[in-house]
Amino acid sequence: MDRTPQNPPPGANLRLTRRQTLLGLVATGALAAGAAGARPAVAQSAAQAHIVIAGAGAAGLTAASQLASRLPRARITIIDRNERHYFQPGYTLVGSGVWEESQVVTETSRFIPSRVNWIKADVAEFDPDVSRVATSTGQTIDYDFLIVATGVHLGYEAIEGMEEALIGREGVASVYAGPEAAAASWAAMARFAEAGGQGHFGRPLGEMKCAGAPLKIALLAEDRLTGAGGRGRAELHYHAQNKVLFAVPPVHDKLLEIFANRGVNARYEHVLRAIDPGARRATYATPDGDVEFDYDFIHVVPPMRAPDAVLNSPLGWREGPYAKDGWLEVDRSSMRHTRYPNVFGIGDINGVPRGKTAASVKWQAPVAVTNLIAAMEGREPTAIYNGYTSCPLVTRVGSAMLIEFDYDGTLIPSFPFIDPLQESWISWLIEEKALKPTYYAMLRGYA
Amino acid sequence: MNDFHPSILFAIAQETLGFWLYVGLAALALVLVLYGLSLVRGRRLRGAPLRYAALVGAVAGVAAMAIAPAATQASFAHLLAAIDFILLGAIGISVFVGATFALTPVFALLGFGRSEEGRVSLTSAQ
Repeated sequence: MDRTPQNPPPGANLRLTRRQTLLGLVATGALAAGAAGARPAVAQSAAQAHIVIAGAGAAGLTAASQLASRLPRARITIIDRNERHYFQPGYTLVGSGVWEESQVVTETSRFIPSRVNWIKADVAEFDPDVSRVATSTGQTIDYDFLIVATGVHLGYEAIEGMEEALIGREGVASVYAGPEAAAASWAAMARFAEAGGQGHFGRPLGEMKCAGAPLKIALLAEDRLTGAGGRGRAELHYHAQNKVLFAVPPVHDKLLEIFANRGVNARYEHVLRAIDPGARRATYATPDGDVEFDYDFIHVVPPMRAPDAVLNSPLGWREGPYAKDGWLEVDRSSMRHTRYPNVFGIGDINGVPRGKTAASVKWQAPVAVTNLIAAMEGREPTAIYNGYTSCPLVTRVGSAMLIEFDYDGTLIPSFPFIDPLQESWISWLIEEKALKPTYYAMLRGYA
Repeated sequence: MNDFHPSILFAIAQETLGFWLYVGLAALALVLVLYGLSLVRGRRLRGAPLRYAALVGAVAGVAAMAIAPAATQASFAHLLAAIDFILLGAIGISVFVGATFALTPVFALLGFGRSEEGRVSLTSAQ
């Protein structure tokens, strides 16, 4: 008699599943514990020194977090008076009504490691010959190593008739000046989207942070005009400071195509020189002399330079394209100062090609920190930054191009399945949902 | 490249979800407990519980695909590249799999499929 059951009793067919479930429980627990507790493997150093970080923006905070975890015996001081931290890559989203102002504001203290000493002041003076900085509150601080991460000075005053107080009034917008300015810019853009008229966009001469933002704002304004029904009543003009819309040739070509499809007029070698808000008239410098245009909406991007403390110090370039604006004289590969070997630079202040984005900070910070630790240990710096920068170039509310490139202007996409020259929703998703948490994780040292 | 190190992904998840990350982890733990309870009580996970869970999961997956663009202030008109459609499909499949996984022990413990077990036993006795 065959005693083999035809059908197993309830539960008997789950023996394998039970084992699998137990294994799954163990694996899940291990994964969660590992993820929560571990950091990427980075070498710690027992080297001792006093490291001063000038500036607690994206670059300074990222450096502070990385140094704190890698140098348990070092003394670290960070100097910045701002108690609020602004997620600057989000300004274009605030300026186009996608985000609220509050979505780009958080507390600086969130990101300062507990063992880092925070001095709430500005650096007023650098004296690298004696390895000392002076603060705006009158303190002098000696250092063994210095990281300069001061960011840039926004030179609205360099445009005749322009001042920050104008933003949001008289058709003037500018997302660069901060969250409030970005929100006021959106109010101005929303009025323009309803009414239509002449819209002007452009960028200044010289180095600037987030060079894609002026293009984004132009395309977002066009999208908002279309959505609000004002597109037929508007003309849009983009003023490039040189002979291209974007420094990377294939991106320039793609933008030309987008501008042509969406009726945005490109002008070259036009730089905003003056603005008359009462008359709503803008003056542009061109190789053929000044030209004037009436505007109903204008997005102003201020010329940028090193902050006064760096500009007036011996730290800036003394010759070459970065000398006039006082950008920090660092080696573009090692992030180390070329004349003061105990000084390193990260972020917007660096006098290097292209690297003035948060994405640049993500790759510059570990290089600068690694090389600083090497210098502390008496070794030659070996970590190299290749100029990586990224610009999620938003083309509409809902689509973007994820453009990443290096010093040579070579496109270096992080995700091989995303075509950098194709507008896509996935790139928008990265811009709108993924960038900010990734950025905040970077500030906490997870980069 | 450290971008995909688990600790970095966890830190990004913390920043993305905040408090809800821990709610999600608690929910995952609860689901695992429910699986354990189902096994201890000898509840059948395959058959009706899995079918009902898959049905609800499929509805959730389709709903997730329907609302995903709007959740990013976009619309279906903004799906311009092939990868966008692949991503949308991946979102739907992920929600389907997740919901099916989470709901199967719930349906098992609620007694879905017990009449089937009874029928099977009666058949077996004959």
